[in-house]
Amino acid sequence: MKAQKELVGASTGLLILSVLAKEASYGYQIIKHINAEAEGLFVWQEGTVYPVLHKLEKEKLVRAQWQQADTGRERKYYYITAKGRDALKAGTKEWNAFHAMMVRLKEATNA
Amino acid sequence: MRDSVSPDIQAKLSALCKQVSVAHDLDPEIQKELYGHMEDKLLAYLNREEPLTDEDALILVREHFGDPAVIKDLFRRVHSWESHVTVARRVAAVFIVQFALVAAVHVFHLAVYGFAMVWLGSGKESELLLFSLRAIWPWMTLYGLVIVTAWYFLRGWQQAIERRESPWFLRWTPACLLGLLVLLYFVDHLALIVKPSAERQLSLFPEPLQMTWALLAIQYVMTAAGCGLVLWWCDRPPRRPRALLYALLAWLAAGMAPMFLYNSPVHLMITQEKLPLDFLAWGHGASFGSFLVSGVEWNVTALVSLRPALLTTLPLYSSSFSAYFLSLGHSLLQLMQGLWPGIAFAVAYGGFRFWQSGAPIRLRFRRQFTQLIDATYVDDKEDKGRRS
Repeated sequence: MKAQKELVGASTGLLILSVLAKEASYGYQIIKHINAEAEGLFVWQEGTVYPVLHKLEKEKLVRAQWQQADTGRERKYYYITAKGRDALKAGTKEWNAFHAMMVRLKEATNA
Repeated sequence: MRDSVSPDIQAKLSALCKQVSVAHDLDPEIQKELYGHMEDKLLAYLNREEPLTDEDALILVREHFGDPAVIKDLFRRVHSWESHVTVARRVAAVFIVQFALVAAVHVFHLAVYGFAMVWLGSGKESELLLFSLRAIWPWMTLYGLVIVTAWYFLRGWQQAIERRESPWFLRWTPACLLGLLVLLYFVDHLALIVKPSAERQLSLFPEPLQMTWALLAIQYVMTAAGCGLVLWWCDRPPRRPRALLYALLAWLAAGMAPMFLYNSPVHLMITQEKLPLDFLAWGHGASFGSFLVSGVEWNVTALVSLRPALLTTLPLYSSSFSAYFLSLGHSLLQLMQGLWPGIAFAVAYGGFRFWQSGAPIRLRFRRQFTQLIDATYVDDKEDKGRRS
């Protein structure tokens, strides 16, 4: 099953923040991580993730810093900020509320 | 285990990243970040860390296969005769359509003019008959000659193709053809300006008759060059730019009807001697000849009529400033009546075709990017990395 693009689109920032909440990471790793987690539900167009990362950085939800990756190569790492964690919390809450509503509606339909 | 890429590949990756240019100050950092991504991805593929999906394999096949446009060109060289036969047929079709349009336009023009004279009760019905005798039969004779001459040239080109030689206009580059068209266009104008003939005026023959007659050779060359350009344009991959051609042709075609509405009353007023006989010559300039279709004549004439009005009409036709401004007014009227409805139609029609043909790819990209910036997902329609 493929997720609708609007659904995936609305969650892109949140997904990135979720990954970064666990550990700082750089673009390629974030994409790889999400694609693996998605298990075929959707696949990001890789190049398009970077403008989103830059947007999050501009909004101060993440901060970036160049550092050496495990491979020994220099990569731009993104760290989630306090503001980013708040946004993640708020976003997750919204998604949960939406999900709960969907479950309620489904149950009402089945009843 | 590979942990670096060759300098050659590094240079290619850098070149790819340089295509993403956002702002002068930001570019190096953005490109460095994107380069890092690509390098990781490439090494992951080389080290078999990234799975190769069906879509990935397809991309590789496409890349190894080569540019279809180049391959098409190579095939054409191998099968030149067959492809040139097709081209020759299409050139012939352009010619036939063009001359049919020219004939239809002018016959219709004469009919409208005659109807206007009778309907408005000008009392010049006998003149109408005379006019018809004088004008329509020479017109038909001319078109007969034009078609015979066209056939002669087409036959020559066909024979050249049979000898495995390309007609000249297929050997020239598009830039040369365009240059030739522009040059001939000015020669066309210059010839008429230097030697303005009394026969061009309404009293003897409809105006474009003499131009087409006198400058037939030039106009054939122009037509052939135009055909070459059109064929080049239509065959140029990707085919999306064809939509622009549709828009151009729509604009030219749409300009014809308003010109009838304008020209017929003017002709009538000239017949009734409310306007001087050489009014049409003032600021009218020359027709564009047989460029593509007859519509070109009307619209391009309207478009360029300001130029002869400003540069040449004054010394040639006018001895006073009032005549000069009359000439200028005539040109402006032509522009307004011949051009704007055409543009309005072309914008609507061309826009429709433009959208249909998938041409606004950049617009679509822009929309996607806007969605992206709004933290939404980019349309994954052409997602090449989609996993199965």
